[in-house]
Amino acid sequence: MDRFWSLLFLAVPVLGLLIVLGAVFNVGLHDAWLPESIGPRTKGIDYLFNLFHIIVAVVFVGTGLLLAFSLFRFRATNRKVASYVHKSIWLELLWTIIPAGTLVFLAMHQLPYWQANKEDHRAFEPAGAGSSDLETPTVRVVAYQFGWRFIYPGLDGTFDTRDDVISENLLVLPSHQEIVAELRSMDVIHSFAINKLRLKQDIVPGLSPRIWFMITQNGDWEINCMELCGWGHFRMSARLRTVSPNDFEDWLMDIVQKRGY
Amino acid sequence: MKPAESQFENQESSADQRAGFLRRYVFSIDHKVIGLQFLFSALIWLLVGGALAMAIRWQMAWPWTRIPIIGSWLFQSEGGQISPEFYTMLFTMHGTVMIFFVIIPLLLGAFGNYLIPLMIGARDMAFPKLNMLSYWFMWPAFISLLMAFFAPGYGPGAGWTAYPPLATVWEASPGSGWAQTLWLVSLLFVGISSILGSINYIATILFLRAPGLDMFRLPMTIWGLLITAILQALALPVLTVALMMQLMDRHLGTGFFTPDNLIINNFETVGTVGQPLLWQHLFWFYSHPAVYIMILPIMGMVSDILCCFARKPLFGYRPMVYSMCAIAGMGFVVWGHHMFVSGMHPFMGTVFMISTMMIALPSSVKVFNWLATLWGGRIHFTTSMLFSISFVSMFIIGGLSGIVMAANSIDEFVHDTYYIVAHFHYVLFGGTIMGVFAALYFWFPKMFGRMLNETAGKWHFLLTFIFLNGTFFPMHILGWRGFPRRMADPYFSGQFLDLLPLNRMITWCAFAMAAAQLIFIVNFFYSMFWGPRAGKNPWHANTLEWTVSSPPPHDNFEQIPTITRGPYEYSNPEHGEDFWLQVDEPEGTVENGKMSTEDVPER
Ligand code: HEM
Ligand SMILES: [Cu+2]
Ligand SMILES: [Cu+2]
Repeated sequence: MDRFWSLLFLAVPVLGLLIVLGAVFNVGLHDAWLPESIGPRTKGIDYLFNLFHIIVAVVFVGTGLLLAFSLFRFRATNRKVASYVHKSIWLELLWTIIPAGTLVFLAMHQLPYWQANKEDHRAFEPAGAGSSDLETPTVRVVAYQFGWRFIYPGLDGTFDTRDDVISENLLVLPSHQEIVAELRSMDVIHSFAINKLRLKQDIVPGLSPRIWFMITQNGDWEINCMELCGWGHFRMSARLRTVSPNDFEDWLMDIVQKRGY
Repeated sequence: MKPAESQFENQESSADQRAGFLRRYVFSIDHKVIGLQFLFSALIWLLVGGALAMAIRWQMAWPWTRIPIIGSWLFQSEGGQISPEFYTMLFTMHGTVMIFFVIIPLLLGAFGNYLIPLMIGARDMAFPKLNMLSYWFMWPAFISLLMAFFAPGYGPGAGWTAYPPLATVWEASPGSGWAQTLWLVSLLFVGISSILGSINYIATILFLRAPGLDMFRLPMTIWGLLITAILQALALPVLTVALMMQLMDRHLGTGFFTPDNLIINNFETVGTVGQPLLWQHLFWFYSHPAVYIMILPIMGMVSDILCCFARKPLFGYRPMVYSMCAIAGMGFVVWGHHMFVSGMHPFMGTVFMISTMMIALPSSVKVFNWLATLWGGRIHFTTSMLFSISFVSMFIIGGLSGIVMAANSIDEFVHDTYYIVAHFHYVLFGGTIMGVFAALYFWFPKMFGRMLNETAGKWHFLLTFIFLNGTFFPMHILGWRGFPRRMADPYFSGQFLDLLPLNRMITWCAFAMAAAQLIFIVNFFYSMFWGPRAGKNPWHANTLEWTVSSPPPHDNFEQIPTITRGPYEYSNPEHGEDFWLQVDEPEGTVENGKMSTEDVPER
């Protein structure tokens, strides 16, 4: 029976590893690893995601095997007496320094990616913070219970004028161009998320965070609200359509002209 | 103890015993009775929380379909199916119940109360009346939350995190109404109860230790409880204040957390200049330490159980203590990892990323010390031991996914997906709840004087362990795909439809896991009355609670013991047996763990 229990705990790292490998290499488990990517933004994040999971998997399997082995090797039916050991300074140092080094490495290694995605961008400074030299965002996103409104500055390139173009629950954007979006909420906290860009930004009412990204494919994608915002949270999704820059101009002009400004 | 004094105490206790049912079992000031009161209340709430979880799983597997049998009377108006409003109530209540009514009361209220005086050689807590109050302050909390279930509308619906303005502006979630207020009131009372309890624990552990029991002879269980109590005493006031502020926002129009000029469901907020992020900071300043409150005591108990059944001293006692202190201290500076994408300044994200990475270090030190404790032992696979080992095994998984999420770039992707759900269920179910089972199987004989059935226990363990992993491991996959949490119908946009079969599998495992708990319930109540008698020290353990009868008499110790050694003298070659009690008992009375009749408790 003792052996059975050691085997049970052996199953944890073994099966766990098999599942992860199956997901990563698409054997047995289909579409179980990261979703497809539609923009350069995901490159760094996906790299980190894979790197972290490799390191974590090594630790997981290592400690799991060690645990199962000691259960098996030191089961009571196999031993007369336990060894009377209290401590070992060297071991403690070993398993403090190695994990510490690994963690410091991981922290430092992923720092630049966060900076690249969040800080090193001219669009970062929040609007209204006295930064008038900010470029005009491509689009202003207004979230409300339970939908999305997308506002384009229109022909004059400024917001809050009569020729603003408004689109409900459909965000049309040019592909291969860097987009700067300003996010606002009318009521409660929402979160603007595009899964295939690994992009997520909460929209706290009163703040107007900015995001920037580029999509390098034409097609239709999903925008989800990823922060609980009330009973209708689940249906708060919008369509994201990327078209060539020319088609995007046409689309905008079309709406403007139909309205007759 | 002077003879005269003990004479006096005995008189008082027999007066207490004569005082009748109400004094002895309801408004008792005996820490053991209070501990059991907490235990039973929390176990009942565990059933409630579990039932809520089953309903959540039903909706994830078969959204908007009729629940067989019970659906028609639960949701008459919706035709027997879960409504989106009801779903938000389900996960809000599930989280609230499990955290505030199950885990915290179990760890501190039940085990803390029961074990602290026994393990440190005291007759009772430092402030027995305060202790009684801390239990009775739970009742207003219970009642408020029950009222929130049945208040008009569908119940609180802002999640256990209750982010404003959703939680503070009535119009934001019509149908929550008074239920949300009752939710706040309930948590306030839980907070008061815990503050009272924690002060008591700290005082008791610091001042009532038996002679000879210096701090570094304390069992890890006590260390875990002490550090947890300190965490509570420091962090809870912040939550209490924040809850008060939400209450005022809801009822006095203060608007601490509500910005100006919002238009919520046709209602306009005017004249408030609050900041929703403030709540998030205050809330997580409490709630991150709270996640350690929910695991440190169990880390301690598991350490003790592992040593007992490996018949081996704890490896690295001091590093274990220091790493607990480190976890507790650093626990106060990592709260921002819950807010990486909230919109706080990205530089803060960097700072919190680094501190969060670092807090994984003491956790990993603990894991390695547990592994080293098992290494070279003589391992007995009792049910309690199996649950303890699974604690280690599962905590590794939860800790490792924590490291992944600590990387803020990755967290931007997995935040609010099932990856998070997988993470905290591995630490809280795989870790804490499995540890609670370990502790229950371990101390049940002390509490009730009878043994739990081991065969049933092992089946209970095996099934729980298998289905626990069947339920929570695949949630990582859901997370890798970006599958959102807290959504009544994640398939709505069509994006995640391919994950439906996996969700069904998870739900079947969850149902099976719930069913397996029936074995435990039957075992628990059967053994309480008809199990074999336990004797003083059925596991041949070292700590003080095993030197008194099971269950212990009213004042625990006839004579306050004098402690002569640390708690982990297992397999010491200088001693004839593979265990060595912390006290030297007079020649001839050493309890050998055999069933003996003189242990029958005098009732
Ligand atoms: C190795 C140590 C740990 C690290 C590095 C870590 C890291 C994290 C991070 C970064 C998050 C935020 C994820 C997000 O919302 O995007 C998180 C969430 C969470 N963690 Fe941990 N964690 C650790 C250990 C624990 C432990 C021991 C517990 C409980 C016993 C715990 C319970 C939770 C809970 C409940 C949440 C989710 C709260 C919510 O959003 O509802 N974690 N953890
Ligand atoms: Cu939402
Ligand atoms: Cu945290």
